[in-house]
Amino acid sequence: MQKPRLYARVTYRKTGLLAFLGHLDVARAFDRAVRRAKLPVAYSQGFSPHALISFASPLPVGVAGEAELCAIELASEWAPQAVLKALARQLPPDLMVVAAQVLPRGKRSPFADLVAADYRVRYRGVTDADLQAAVEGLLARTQWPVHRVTKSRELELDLRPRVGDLRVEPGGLLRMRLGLAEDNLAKPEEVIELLSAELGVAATTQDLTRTALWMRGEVGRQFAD
Amino acid sequence: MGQRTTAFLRRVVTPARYLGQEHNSSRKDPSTVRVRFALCYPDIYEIGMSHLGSHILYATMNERPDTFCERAYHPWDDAVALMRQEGLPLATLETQTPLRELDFVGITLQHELNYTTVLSLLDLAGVTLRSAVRRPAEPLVIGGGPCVYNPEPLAPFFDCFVVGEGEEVIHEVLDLYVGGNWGRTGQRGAEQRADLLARLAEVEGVYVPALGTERPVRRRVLPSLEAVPPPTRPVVPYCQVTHDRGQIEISRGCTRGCRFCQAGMIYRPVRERSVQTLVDAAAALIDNTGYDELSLVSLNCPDYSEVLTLVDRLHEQLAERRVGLGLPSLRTDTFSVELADRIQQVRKTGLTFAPEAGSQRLRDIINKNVTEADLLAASEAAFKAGWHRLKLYFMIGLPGETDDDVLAIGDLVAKVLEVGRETLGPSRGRLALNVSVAVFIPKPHTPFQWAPQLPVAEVLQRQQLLRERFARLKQVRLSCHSAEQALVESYLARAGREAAELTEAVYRAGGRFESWDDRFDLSRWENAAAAAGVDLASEVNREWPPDRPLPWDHIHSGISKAYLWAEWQRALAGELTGDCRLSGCTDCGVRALGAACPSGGR
Repeated sequence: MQKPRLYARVTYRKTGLLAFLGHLDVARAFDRAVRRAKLPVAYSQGFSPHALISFASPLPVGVAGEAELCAIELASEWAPQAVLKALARQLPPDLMVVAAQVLPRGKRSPFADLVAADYRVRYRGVTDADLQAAVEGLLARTQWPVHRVTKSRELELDLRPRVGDLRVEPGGLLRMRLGLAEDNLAKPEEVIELLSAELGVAATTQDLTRTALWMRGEVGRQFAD
Repeated sequence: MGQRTTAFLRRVVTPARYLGQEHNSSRKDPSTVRVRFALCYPDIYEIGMSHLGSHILYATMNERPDTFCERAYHPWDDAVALMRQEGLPLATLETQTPLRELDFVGITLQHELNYTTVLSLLDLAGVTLRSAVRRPAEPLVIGGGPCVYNPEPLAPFFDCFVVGEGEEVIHEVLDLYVGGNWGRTGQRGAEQRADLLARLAEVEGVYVPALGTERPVRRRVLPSLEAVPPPTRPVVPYCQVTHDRGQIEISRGCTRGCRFCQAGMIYRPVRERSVQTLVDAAAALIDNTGYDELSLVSLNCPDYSEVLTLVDRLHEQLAERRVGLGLPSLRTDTFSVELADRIQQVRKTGLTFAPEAGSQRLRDIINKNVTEADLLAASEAAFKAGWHRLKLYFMIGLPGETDDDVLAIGDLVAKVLEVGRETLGPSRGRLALNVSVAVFIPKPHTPFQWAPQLPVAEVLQRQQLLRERFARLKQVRLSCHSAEQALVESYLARAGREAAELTEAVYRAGGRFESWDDRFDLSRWENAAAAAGVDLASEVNREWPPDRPLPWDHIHSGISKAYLWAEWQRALAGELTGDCRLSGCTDCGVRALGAACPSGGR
């Protein structure tokens, strides 16, 4: 029987030029930072023991994150503030840890309750008013058909129920809240694609950033299950 | 502006190569220093960041408050195309400053097949290729590394070369630069540049090709390694590089006397760091980098006097931090059961043995003093300690080699397989031997510098013999080096200044990254050679007579030509020469450099 595990769950950012790190690069950077920080991390068994560090929902190369999550399995109790302080000394400003909590000992994955994510993207070549009109036009549609190609299959799906919020802010900013659970996933690029059909003009997007990750119970009913 | 714009990074693969900002990278204010140095490696980031020598120079230069050393690597093709399209010059990783604005552009020369990439790098940086027509205000282009033991093929492109160990002489060069009124890059006048080069040529170990080859250039060698602590704050890359681990040099030099081996000649005498220095350095290195693997660097780690003590003490402190210990390629006569047990305790790193030749006769010619029994014993020790996979390293094309010697490689590998099957018992299904077969290349400053290079057709025929021999051995994976690359490497290794024309022509015809076998195209070299009236094969495929002047005669490695010639003659006679540390001084000449020489001491 598996014994309850002890996790430090750390919030960090991946911003600026370091948004161009791949997920494995970020994982390597944390592995090394944890060893430099001398955290009491737990290791896997076997021929090549490695530090037990896991990440919520990997970000693609080029996409920034302002509040990403990483879980470090601890071999002994440490105070969250001590974890935060030790790691902060080992990471660059664009990969900085901003919060840490030590979860109650348990058997579930520290990311089991992850259900939604917020994104922000900046539009160029379109006025705020036109962007607003396009968003309203999209929201008025009852079905948002999307063709998604994954490694194993291709599928048609309706994105509408997977999108919680879509709004425009001054300066061409679009904010969205999207489902993240496996059966409720919506990708920001899919929303951008749907919106570009509504816009009808050639607008470009830049600085795609994930601004928050949400756990079940933290966000509305749409992402409850 | 350099490469680091969002638009640029979006359009290249592996943008992590171009980001900088790595842990331990130097962050200085350029306005506070008097020298700005671009330390360049003529290959991509992942290769260059694996090079220990570059980490050593980066660390020692950046210890100086008056100097800011930054790094640059050759960008990959997609990035090169973008830079050409947008008119972006090659810039440093640290501050994105174009290389052409720095005081020095330093390039490490590790491999002849990097030469066209060297030219590409200078060209991308917007630095005039030929030093003779380089404008006075441009940076000084300075080279170092093992290829400078015959610098002539690159001589027209460099302002100066540093021959030998760089840790001391680089400071003499920097001191000279900050101590005189030579003008910085951008403001330097013609007379100032000429004066500076003349003064640099007076520094021991510095070669200024524009001033001719009459003056001998003596290799720089450190009397002891204890004065130069190993770097313990190397830059830690984000993306996965070729050698993605901490590296600590435990000793320098080797006196085993393998006659093909340039490293075994040009890094003499043997100097070791103390166990305590290394244990402290290893702890600091892991503290400062967080690496999960530490590799000991030496030409042959088991030759280190107190290797078992060292490995035990390192293991004591690395084990609890789950840091694995790795050793590079090993001589089979020195790899013991005790050592095998110790290095596999945390994490099994790769294990490579280098018997070099298949038959005892040929191993005697090359002076590789190991026997078949040594290899089989070492393999058994490794299998017993839990390894299932070994790498075996051989060469073909050695002087005096026949088909029988090549086939003997097959017999030897088959015997190792047999030992593996017996030792591993039930887990023998996982047994795997990676057999890597290189092509012998005569290198300057070795006893084999006069030896002929095996013609391409014969190399191919001998490789075919091996492929057929191993075809039915499922647990053996054979990889052979390219015969065509070997031809060009061989040509460049021993060519004179005339090879510069060819090298530039090949670069102009699109040659770069030629050390990558899928990027090498012999026809570029053949075309350039034909245009220049040179026959590559006839230059390299014949034995050189003793009175033939060598293009590197002005470069004094400290190993005397008389010793090298005597060793060549002994090779032809099949006579062995012992390790001077075990059987007395062999008169190699290195004592004349004034270095403390341990020969006969043990």
